[in-house]
Amino acid sequence: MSNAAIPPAVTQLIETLSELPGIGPKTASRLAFYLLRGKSELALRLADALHKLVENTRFCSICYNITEQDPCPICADPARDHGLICVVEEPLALLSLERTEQYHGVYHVLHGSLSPLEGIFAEDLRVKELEARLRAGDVHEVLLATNPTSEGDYTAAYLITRLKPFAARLTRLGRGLPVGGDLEYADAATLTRALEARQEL
Amino acid sequence: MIRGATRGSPYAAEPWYNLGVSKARLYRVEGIVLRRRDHGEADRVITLLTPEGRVELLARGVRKIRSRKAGHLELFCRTTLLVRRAKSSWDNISQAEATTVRAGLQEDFTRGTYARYVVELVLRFFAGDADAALFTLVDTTLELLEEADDPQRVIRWYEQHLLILAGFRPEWGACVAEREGKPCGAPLRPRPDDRRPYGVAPERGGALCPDCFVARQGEGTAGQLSPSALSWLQALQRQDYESVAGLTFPAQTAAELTHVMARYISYHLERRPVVLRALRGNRQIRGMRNEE
Ligand SMILES: [Zn+2]
Ligand SMILES: [Zn+2]
Repeated sequence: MSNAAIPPAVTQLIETLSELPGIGPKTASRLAFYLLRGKSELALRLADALHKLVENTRFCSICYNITEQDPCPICADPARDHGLICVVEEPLALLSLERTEQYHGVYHVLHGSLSPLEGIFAEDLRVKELEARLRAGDVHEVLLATNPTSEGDYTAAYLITRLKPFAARLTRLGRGLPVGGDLEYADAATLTRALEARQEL
Repeated sequence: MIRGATRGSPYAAEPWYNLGVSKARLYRVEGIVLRRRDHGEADRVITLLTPEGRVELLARGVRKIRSRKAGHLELFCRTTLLVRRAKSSWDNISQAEATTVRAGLQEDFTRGTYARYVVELVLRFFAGDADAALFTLVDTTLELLEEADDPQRVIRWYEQHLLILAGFRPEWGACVAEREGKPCGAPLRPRPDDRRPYGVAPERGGALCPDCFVARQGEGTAGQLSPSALSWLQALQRQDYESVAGLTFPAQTAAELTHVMARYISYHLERRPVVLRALRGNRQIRGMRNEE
């Protein structure tokens, strides 16, 4: 893409866009030129949204979900069961579970899965923070809702060994979930069934 | 095209070259899933170890919870794939059927970590030019890891045999030191009542007799090796797993071997393998039995 005919600002946008997951150089160029084509107003709105994203969002200091206010609305909600913590890999999985409207506890977002082959260890995830929440007491159940994949199962297996001394009750999202997929892609009905069928560990 | 036109009738119902192409576009391959990484919206790139070598293949849509392929492409699975050849990117997995799922490696943290270490050594020692022997070793080791009562012993056995295939066979049977320009070569027959320790010198590719170990101690690189650890290394290298499985693997020797092999492997890889760190961080946890 290092073409003399393309201004550096455009090249830079294309290169930045292609760092996004699922966007190759071809798609990135298409997006860049779409933004350029007259509708400058769209580019400005996008710039504004990105700016707000960086300025106004942070991690909730309790559950590490992405939020504009700290603690996040879920952690701040007195109607929810704060003694029930559902552990997920990513914020998108949390969103899927919220969509079921069947879960009334709180969450903990790990921000990834344990993957020593890729150099990701427990200290790279929000595990220490989860352990601290359990140490602080009054947690009656930890529901492990990592993905039903090799990586998610491995992460859950680790969490079991690590959290067993602190958690009164450890459960795993039901095995009604087909193996291999990511929770963020699960529909509400499947997730509701998995929530109901959670298993004691 | 031109050759096709001259060799066959251009009006034939199914020209010979089309038959050839359609056959080659789909192929079948059996292998072990070594590694996977997310790609694009809902795809994964799968690294597969086959008897012919290592390949990367694209599995489209497998992160979707309804994918029919997904369950057959989990880590350490032995799986048979129908693959569609692609021109510009990875070949595409169109069907997958796991013959061995290895559930025991998915839900057990210690075994799962060891299985990842098995993969790490394959990736680091071999550029991709695998052979049938490597495939068999990895397949056997994963199977043993799932079932053996002591997964750590399986790993120590695996290391010995992987090093042989990688061309770094350690010499445990004769002293590898050089004295006054001549190889020592003293046969090593460790006995439990040996008073003096043996040595290990990764840069010379094996063990040292007690005399040479004492002589080289000042040079810094040689490490101490107990008679028990040395005789284990000899047995692990010589025997198939079934023969060593019946012997007692004392905890102290296990710890020593972990350390010795980590040094030996790091030396030849020119870097430290990282996966086993996952176990080390876990050692303080009550009730866990880890010597790594
Ligand atoms: Zn929160
Ligand atoms: Zn010697």
